[in-house]
Amino acid sequence: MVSNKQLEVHLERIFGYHSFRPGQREIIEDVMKGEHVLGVLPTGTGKSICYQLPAMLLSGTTVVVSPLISLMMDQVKQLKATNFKKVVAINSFLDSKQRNEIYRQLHEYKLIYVSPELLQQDAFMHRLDKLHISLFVIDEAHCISQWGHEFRPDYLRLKDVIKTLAYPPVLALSATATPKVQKDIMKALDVGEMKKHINPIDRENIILTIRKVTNKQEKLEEIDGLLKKYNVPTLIYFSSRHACENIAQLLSGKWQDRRIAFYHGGMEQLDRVIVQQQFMNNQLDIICCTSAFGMGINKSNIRLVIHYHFPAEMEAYIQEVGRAGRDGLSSLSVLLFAANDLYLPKQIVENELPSSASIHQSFEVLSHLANKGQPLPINQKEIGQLFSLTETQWNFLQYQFEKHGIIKERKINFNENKWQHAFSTIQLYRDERLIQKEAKLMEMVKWIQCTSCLREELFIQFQDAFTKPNNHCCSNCGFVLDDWTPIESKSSLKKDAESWQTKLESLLLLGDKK
Amino acid sequence: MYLEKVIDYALSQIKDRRSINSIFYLLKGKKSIQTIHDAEIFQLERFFGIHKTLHIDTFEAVIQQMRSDGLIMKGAIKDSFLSVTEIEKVPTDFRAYFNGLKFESIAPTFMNRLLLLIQTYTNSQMKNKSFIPIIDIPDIIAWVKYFYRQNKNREADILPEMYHELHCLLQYVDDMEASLFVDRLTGYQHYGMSTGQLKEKYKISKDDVILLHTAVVHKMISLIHQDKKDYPLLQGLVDYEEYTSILTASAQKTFRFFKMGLTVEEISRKRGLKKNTIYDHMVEIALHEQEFPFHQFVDEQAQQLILQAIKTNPSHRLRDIRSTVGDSISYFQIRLMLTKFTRLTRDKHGKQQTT
Repeated sequence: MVSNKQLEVHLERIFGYHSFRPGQREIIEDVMKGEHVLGVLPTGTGKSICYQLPAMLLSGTTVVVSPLISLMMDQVKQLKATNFKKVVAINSFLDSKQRNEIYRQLHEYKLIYVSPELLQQDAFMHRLDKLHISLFVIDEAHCISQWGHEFRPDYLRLKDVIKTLAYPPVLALSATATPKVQKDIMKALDVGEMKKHINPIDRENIILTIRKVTNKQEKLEEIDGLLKKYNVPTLIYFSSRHACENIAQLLSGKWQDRRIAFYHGGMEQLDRVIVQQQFMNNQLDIICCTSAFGMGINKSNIRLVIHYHFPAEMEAYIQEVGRAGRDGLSSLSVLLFAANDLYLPKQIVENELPSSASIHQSFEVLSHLANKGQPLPINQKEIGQLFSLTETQWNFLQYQFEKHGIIKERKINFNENKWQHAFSTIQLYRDERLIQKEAKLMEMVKWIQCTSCLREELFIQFQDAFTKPNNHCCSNCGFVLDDWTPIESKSSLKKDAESWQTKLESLLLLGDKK
Repeated sequence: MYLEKVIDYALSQIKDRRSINSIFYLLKGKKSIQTIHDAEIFQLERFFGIHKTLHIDTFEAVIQQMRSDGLIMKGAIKDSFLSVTEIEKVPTDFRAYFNGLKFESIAPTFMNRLLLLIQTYTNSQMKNKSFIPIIDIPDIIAWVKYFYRQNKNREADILPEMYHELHCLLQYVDDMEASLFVDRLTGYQHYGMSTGQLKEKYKISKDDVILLHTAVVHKMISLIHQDKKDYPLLQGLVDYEEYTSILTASAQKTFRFFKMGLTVEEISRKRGLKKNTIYDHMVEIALHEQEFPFHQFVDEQAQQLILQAIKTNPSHRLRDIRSTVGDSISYFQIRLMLTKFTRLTRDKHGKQQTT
């Protein structure tokens, strides 16, 4: 058993941190005792340390289920950069050669990140079962609840996975779990008693403000006003990739002394890494981005988070705003709201689920495949093209199809009567999900419109109490921009007039400024 | 602007003998026999696969724009166009750098290795062990690790050599092109520019950034290939194994069986593929294999007949040729002879250039 004092020593040795952040130690202590634990920690307070440190100290293997491949990859990269080498991410992006290579040496990893769908593959489960699993972690555990942010039906199957692995100690983690969602998590995992460590998710140092405008032009004026006043590391969130690119271009033209870039999920992998790292490395001042940005980013001095479009759920808002001020210093969130903004999130919400017509079409594609005796394609991209569905839409349908015995892994079981019934059940379920999602959207809109304390209204449904900051609270509690004087970043904008020869020389460290 | 220039040149070669989409597939590097064949017939091998991420919407928008600018006009067959500006001659600008059919797969590997190598060595020199690698492709990471270990004893020489060779290579391109290339590189505590940032800086479209960058990389590899001894370090980054395999993986398999003496029928049975698929492979092999035994599939008399028909049908459309030669000749035989014809004209063209 590792004593409490020693935990700190290991934390410093492995990760270079001198002490734990609030909430971490309690969770880690229980994990080390082999308890099942449910942990809620606010965004940006080092949730991952809660399993990364135990993974290094426990004797066997730690398995982490993570819903997003990009998040997984980021974590692995960061760990490898801190000399934690025995870590791997396994997901559908690996080709069979790479995957077999990893499978062969699976026992050598201390920490294995997996996507939930991989745990449905017998070949993988078989290998996992042979290992000594000392900790089974469910990251973003709120995905298990349909009342949670980003419901992932395949998380519901984790119960069976845990059972197959003979109930290793389980750690479920989330940054956004209301009491209702917490209950759902514990019920769905079904591992008996779980130690609960629920930490308040409100962040005292982030000022919440909403600016109501009438159109796009006024949004731009608001942004200009903010950029003029504050030269600080800034994120601007958009719901559409198109707007994200366009506004970035517009701002770059206008603000020549700031370094501005855009980031969204449609970019090439290399460009994504580049922009992310430039920002971490203080080569950029402002990033225009979609929700794809920020996961796994731990830049501590983001001072300003602007929402050009508002997110469709309060949980998403809390997470995005939570990227600001991780160093504990005063930071500002500005949500820009125009009445006709309602249209976009509504469309996004609807798009996350397959439409009635595409459910119908999917059944046709399935029966077509069944008639030809063909299995489902292996690769996600081919499936997407075959069914004309996005990844989220397919995730939704895949789970439903499996539930109704229509597909098992890649095999299709044709049965006309059963399919008729399944079709209408799935339709109904889809409508129900849409209503739930729209309800969450309406909650968000209601919050934007409320006139009482924004902080109170935002956190009331997550926890009993919140910390009211001494001075700057929110725009409904009398905060005005003139009151805020953040620490400005020193703009180190280099004039880009050097010749390529000089640039190459200094890049390759041959100049005199070694 | 650059994409337009590429399309314009391709059009001046193809004319209205193919639909405009054939150029889209050419730039995307579609590994179909039709696309590869077209590349050779119209001497556009250089453009094969030079913009793999090109989107059909972008391509169509560019075509629309070129049309309304009066640069191209409708051609005789459906969805075909003619260039009104370009005269048929070998370009001398960035378009001359490309060598797509040869480099389309080795160029990205070369570039990824170079990017990660520079990031690794500059960080290592500054004694920084922890950095996020900008390339996260396992094969590339493994290669760089291997390179690093192999050159452990001369670590200090790598960066100066790299500078010398890159500097030398970049002399062969325009300053703007060299500058764009250098801006993309990542070193110690300095991350290179993204495609979006290069687009802003150079005031060109995203697709132009990609094309121009690819052009420079192709040019570099050509130069390295010509004078390997002048670039001892960088020539090690070129993967010559990938270089030779223009055949699709499946055609390579067929080729192995064919060399063992199996007939088309036997290969088709053995591989569980349709006979027509094996025919496609054969055409693909015939296009690249110097010693391909055409006579095994088409006797001498038929060969002459088909070659004659090809000459009288400059569109090279299979159906036109077939109606000239008659039904006793199969489409497969015509396609084989088309490849032979392409090779004959190509060789003649090559000789003319050298004299």
